[in-house]
Amino acid sequence: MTLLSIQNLKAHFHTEDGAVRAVNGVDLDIEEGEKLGLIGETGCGKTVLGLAILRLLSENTTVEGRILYKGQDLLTMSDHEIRKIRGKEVAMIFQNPLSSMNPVLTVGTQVAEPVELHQHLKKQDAMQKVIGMLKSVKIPLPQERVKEYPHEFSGGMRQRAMIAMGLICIPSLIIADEPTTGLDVTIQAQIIELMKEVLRDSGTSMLLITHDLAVAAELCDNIAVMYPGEIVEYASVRDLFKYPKHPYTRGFLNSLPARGLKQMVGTSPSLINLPAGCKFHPRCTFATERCRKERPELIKVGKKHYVRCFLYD
Amino acid sequence: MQKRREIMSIVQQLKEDKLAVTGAIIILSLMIIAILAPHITPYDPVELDLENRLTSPDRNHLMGTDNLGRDVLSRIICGARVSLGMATVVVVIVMLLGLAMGTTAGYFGGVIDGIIMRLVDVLLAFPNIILALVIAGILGPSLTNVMIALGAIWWVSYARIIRGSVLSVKEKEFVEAARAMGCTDTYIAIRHILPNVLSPVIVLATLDMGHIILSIAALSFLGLGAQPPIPEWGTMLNEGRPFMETAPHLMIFPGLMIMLAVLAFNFVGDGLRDALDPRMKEGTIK
Amino acid sequence: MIEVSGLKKYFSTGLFGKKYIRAVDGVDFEIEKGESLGLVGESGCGKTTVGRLILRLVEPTEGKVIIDDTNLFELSKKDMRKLRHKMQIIFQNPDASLNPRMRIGDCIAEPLKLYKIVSKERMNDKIMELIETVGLNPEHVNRYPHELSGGQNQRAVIARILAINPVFIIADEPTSALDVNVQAQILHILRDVKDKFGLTCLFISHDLEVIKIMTDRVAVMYLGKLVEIGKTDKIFNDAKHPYTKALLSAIPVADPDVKRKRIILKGDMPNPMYPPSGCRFHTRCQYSEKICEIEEPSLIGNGHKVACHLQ
Repeated sequence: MTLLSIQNLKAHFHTEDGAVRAVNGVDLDIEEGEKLGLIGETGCGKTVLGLAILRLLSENTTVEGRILYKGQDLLTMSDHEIRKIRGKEVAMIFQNPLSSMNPVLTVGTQVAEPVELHQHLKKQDAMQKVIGMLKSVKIPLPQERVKEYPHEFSGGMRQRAMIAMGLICIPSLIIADEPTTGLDVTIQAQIIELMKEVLRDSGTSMLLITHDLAVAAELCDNIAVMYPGEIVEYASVRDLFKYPKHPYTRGFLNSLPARGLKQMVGTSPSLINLPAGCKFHPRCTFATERCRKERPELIKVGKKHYVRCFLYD
Repeated sequence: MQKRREIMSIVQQLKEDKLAVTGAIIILSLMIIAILAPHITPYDPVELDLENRLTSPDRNHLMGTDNLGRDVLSRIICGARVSLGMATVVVVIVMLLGLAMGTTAGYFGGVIDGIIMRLVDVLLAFPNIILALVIAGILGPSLTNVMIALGAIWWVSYARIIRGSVLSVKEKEFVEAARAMGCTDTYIAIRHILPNVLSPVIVLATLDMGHIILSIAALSFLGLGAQPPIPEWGTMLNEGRPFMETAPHLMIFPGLMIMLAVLAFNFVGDGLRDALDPRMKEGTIK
Repeated sequence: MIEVSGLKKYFSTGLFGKKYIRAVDGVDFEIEKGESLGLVGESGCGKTTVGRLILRLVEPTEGKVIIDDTNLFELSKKDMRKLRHKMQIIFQNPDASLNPRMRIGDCIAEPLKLYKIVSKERMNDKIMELIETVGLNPEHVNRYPHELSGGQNQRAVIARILAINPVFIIADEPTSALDVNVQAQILHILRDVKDKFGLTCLFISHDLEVIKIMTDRVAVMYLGKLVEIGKTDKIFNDAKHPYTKALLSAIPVADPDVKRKRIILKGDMPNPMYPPSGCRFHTRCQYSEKICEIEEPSLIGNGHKVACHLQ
């Protein structure tokens, strides 16, 4: 069953330098229990997409389209209703756990916040639940550590606490924005294994937003590749890695050190100044006149494999 | 060439800020008035005319006359020269002193830093104006002494801000890169660190021009600054005080001038703060 | 060409400077001329400090760095300055490595003026030549660093460094802040200039994938000490130290068909203020034995050296 269905989503910011078109018509479905990776480089709009789902974008943004969560449109909900969804039904895990935790509150208090808010538990019961949750994310001595402050936790431990906070209300969907970026490889490995385990146990769906293909490959079932403002390719992890279709996806994969470090010419366009037609055409070796003028639609090229490129038309 | 282009772009930025433009026009006019003062005053600002004492503003005396029959307008015009000139001198002293002390403390650290900063702490523990009062009182009332007194206490906040910026800039990779490249300490301090700490100082100085004009006026009002018959806005306020009820124009005009100057410097200072940082221009989204 | 021996750096902290963070605690290695050595480790292991020490940007607590028969730490400040043009460093954050108030052209011109490498008339040509070497456009010369992307700034940094013809370069996480594609571009440039100018390199990184393709030999660092050093292919195919093995197995692989057993280390790296007794890795090592807690293993072997009691 489709849990979250994003339909023709657009998100534009208005700045002094002009409109920043961060998301330009994205369609994306997440099934129940599915783990979807959203891959893209810095400034491709992937974080904005994640924030748009929970309506966490600032006032100067126009968001259009529909985001159906279990059939309800999140974008037309009242503030009161969306607050009931946030944290309880759909939770977020942010990249930098040090700045996304309040430094003057204990870790326990913060992890307990969602349960107190949504399940109206008493403080003691909530704390009991927190301790249980910290245990399941493998934080040693949780009874002691709930009383500590974020700065007393190491980077890896803080990320565990963030995951605990995200999962404590047993949400149906987790949006994880670069959850392992900035962590050391051995700690990253710990967190990846932990996430695999807790997601399997709870059956929670996940939208993983990352620039790291390898992390997505380990954690996800399907991957959507984003290139300024658009999804350019969608496929299962296996298909994407074995049979990448879009020239950008291929270039991206080939530029990985493990895959030969081949260079792609140029850099991604800025979201203020997007090229006409296919957004990738200025860097594409296969670009034709049509690519410069017309925006390609997502074309089905295989079972659950879509690509936005005229080469497959 | 490059420097000029740089300055032009700052000017361009300022142009779009209406308040800053207004402020700049006021300051500019005040400066022109101050420079041309001896040639444009309708009367001699110190000449007594005991027959026309305390006249209200009329066609002959646009701002009236004071208790000794001196033309207030002429005194205001000459006062611009004294007030603005003194404030400028004080700001320059304060900036140089603050830069020297702050950069030394921040860049070299250690014992030097400790000594300078303790001195700063001590000076900051007193209200500025009281300290200036004491120093000016000890040195005796005169314009020079007021400038010395203000300069001697005002640099501390500059030193502190500059030291803070120096400390953070010092840790930046480009400073380390310059060291790795073989640049000497003095060269690094002047070429790499100073330009990066200068803009907050310039902003602060512009904003402070207003404060300093006020402080000079305050000290003069208390009788420590400009001595009669020198026309200075603060002194004029003081001299007009006994006649507040019978001839309010004696206090209104100098008061308005002080307000105008302070406001103008504040407008420009605010505008400068936004315009000076090249990183502020773009990079709104990063 | 470069010999590092017994290198130590303790940073004093605490209210009265009584506590010491042992950032680097006895490191020895040498780098041959034209060789590229990788220094790998997790954050806080002291690898960055090693880089800074070799350039004497940080004063050492103990040890020697010998370059062409001169011990850098015995030189006076002035003599040191004269030697600096021989060795240069590329930092992790390209946006902070250039003075924000200087145009790219001025940044590159600075070392040229400092060492009077070219005459005033030839200055522009030389800058253009350098700009071209690193793949920037002539129009970038008049831009400020904040107007360029991270990748472009890193190119400018490399151009600036090449301006003074160094023989030895330290690259401290030069691509960690960059996107994958830009990373590929920068690594290519680094490889090209290394070959073209016959540079000797110390490549510091936490990214093993990058180390694998950029270096001839690799040294693995843990908590201020080297645990293993050897030829790059030896380290990647036949790692001896349990920590190196864990590090290698932790790299996520962008290939869904590769299945392997991952070694998950227990806990975090200990606080370098209170390093564990004996072998520093014993608290997280799955093979740890009695002797590991008591005696500190030394780095032994021929060519491929390991610091582990169990080898």
